[in-house]
Amino acid sequence: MKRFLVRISIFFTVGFFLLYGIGELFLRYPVFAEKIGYSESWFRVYKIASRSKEDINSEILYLGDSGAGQMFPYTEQKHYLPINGAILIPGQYILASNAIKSNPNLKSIVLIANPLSIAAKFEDSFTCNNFVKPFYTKENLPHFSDLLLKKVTIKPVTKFYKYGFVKLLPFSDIDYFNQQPELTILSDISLEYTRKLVALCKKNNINLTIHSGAVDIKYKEKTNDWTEMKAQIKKEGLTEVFRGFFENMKYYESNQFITGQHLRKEYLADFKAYILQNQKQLVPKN
Amino acid sequence: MTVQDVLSQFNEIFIDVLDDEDIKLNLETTADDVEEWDSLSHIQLIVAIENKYDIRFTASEMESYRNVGEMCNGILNKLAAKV
Amino acid sequence: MLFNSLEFFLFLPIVFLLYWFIVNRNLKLQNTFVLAASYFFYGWWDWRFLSLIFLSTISDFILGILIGKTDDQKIQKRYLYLSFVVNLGILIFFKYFNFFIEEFSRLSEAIGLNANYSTLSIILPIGISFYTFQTLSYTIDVYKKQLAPTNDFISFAAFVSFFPQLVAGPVERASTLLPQFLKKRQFDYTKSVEGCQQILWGFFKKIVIADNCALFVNDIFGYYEYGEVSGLILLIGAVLFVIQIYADFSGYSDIAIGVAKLFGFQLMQNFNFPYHATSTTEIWRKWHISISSWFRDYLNKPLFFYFRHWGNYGLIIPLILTFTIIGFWHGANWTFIVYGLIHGIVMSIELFSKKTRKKIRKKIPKWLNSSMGWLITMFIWVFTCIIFRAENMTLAVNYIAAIFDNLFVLDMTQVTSRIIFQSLLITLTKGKVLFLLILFMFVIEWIYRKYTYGFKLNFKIPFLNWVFYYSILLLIILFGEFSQQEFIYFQF
Repeated sequence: MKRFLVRISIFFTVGFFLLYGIGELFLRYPVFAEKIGYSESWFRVYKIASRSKEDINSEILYLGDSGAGQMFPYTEQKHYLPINGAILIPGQYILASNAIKSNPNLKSIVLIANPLSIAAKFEDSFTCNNFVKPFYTKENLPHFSDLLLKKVTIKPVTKFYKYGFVKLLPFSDIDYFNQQPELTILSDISLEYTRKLVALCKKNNINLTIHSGAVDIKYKEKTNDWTEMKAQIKKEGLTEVFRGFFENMKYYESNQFITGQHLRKEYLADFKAYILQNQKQLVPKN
Repeated sequence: MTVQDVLSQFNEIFIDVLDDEDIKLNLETTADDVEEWDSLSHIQLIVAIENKYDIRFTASEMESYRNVGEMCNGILNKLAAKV
Repeated sequence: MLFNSLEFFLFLPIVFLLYWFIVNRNLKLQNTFVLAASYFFYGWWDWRFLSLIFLSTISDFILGILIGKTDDQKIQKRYLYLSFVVNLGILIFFKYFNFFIEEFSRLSEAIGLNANYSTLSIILPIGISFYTFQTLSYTIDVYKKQLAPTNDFISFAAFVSFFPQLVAGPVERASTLLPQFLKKRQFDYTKSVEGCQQILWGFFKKIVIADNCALFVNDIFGYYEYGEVSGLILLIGAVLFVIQIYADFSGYSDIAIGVAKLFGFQLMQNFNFPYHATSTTEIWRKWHISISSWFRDYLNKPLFFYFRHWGNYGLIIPLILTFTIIGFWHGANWTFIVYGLIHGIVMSIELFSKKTRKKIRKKIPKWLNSSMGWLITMFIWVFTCIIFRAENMTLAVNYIAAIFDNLFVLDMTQVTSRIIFQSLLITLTKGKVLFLLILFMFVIEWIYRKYTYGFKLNFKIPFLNWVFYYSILLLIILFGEFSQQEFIYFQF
């Protein structure tokens, strides 16, 4: 028994240091991790998100969901940073806040997202891999509100995810999904972090525009032309930031999408031009 | 009929059903000792034996035989009961 | 609690230490502790369904004693049937109720009745197909007098709910596992090291192989509904699924058996390298042994016996019936029934071609015979696994038809075909060498095929063992796929 315990302890101690080392290495030098072929899905998000701390050399920054990423792919330009909808509005907020800090010249931020991505609730199966693991770090902790922190650590063990090496551990993710259908009004955290985003931009003198991504026509009927969301935005006093959001919403037929919110390739150029044109009108010229 | 008589008749049945000329049964032989003797051929053996001696086994009798010897004795008992 | 969860990583060492250092003084305490730990393990997922395990436990405990008390065969039989009613009743209600209702109303509509039966929203309690069969085996064995009924409720309840194998097997027989609860366990260094090896290997198979394959399989089977994927990709998807289910099922069993070894228990071998088999009959002797042998002993044998004077039909009927039911055991869907049915038919054909195949075997070289056998077996296995995986029979048939329709046409104008093909290529070339990892798994398992698990390292120099342990650990960390994935087993 003693022999077994000694050996297993040695195994885990060495394993721990090995893991700790790899964790620190990967988080600090994502490129290195990429080179040796580490491409866990949370890490891909982490890698793109870490670019928000770099100098983007542009006055405008594009954020958004994966639908926006089709038109503004992060592989093309440094100031294209749409990742996906599952990083939630808190994720977008952290990206914006990093970018503002490291880019004094930044003048506007355009968030392009499907209304469903904007509404997205925290309680979803994708949240762990796309938001919690990549964004819940000691460094980002000041950006976490009490409500958000409470949701992240709903299971006590998730507190450990703060530490880099724990993210590497071979455990299945926490499934935050709560059996509720997807929301068509802003979730609690979306609301809180949209407010925070507005305040952040105001403080730093930055124009914030929210533009809708392509929307499947079936949602127009389903949500009664977004009546509830519109009312909610009015009630919560967010009309200013959502100016033009519903007016410029462009609908497509279901068969014009590959899956869910992703347009077929042939419609992308057209929709991108449409967004750029609207954005010109929305962003006041200085 | 003695146990040895039954055993030699058994051997023929086994060779016939399992299609293996090399089978040499003794009283201690079990299913593990004969390569082709699985649960399926076991049933075929039973059917062949039942037809030859015109007797019927019950399921629990079948379960209780652990080797060829016990099976031979079981048959002798049944035949004795018949007469 | 899942094996590959952070909770279990904390749970296991705590339970292990308490088990060997605190409650090791006497047997009763040890068993009570195992019982408590097991209920905690299960209750972590949903404590309400503990009541079902408890119901199954207490009814078979009492019925076992009652059977032992009487000599009247008729009364014993009645108790046996009661156990069937309780256990299969629980199973049928929670797993198959909606299926039967839906099929029944479809049938009544077909014959012109205006039927509108409402279904219930029933959650499938995890592991229900496993523990109900385990308790059933106890009552059957007691009825057959192969096991004396126990008066020790704690040990019996611990046997039913033993956490390593509670939710996804191996389904143990009362006659082999229960006696292990009745005598005190002693710590065994060699067995524990073996257990750790097996756990490590199980995690590798599950997290690295199965979950990575699953990414593609889910994509390919998912997109297929849009009719957008070409034949070659569909075939690759089917082969990856075959690898996935093996790695997933056997990986899970390895972890379960390994964990049990740490606590001084020996569970049965559940997978005996099934993909080395050269006939479908042989695959079923090596695949998910605990379940296939359960059905063999408690269903197939009695059926064979019952139909034994029906000539050839007496062989075909029990085979097909048994395998159809094994298929149905996997889930309430026609796909599983058809999957089982086909295997039953194939095995009947193999049975009646036995003599012909023996003649062929004598004429051709051994390697040719076994590789031919292997190819045919795997061909059937791959295509029946498509049925196993598909959402419904229509999709399954379309999937198979589409493979043959344009097997060698890689139509890159199909958007999803291209996306999947590209991501496959990226995975294969860009470090995440799924192909090499799969090869690695099969090579290692081939080397250790004579043992009861595929990673029984026994180098003379201990240092080499450690090199391998850390290599596997690194592979798991670097190439494992940790997105929310449950073991496929849990659905059954």
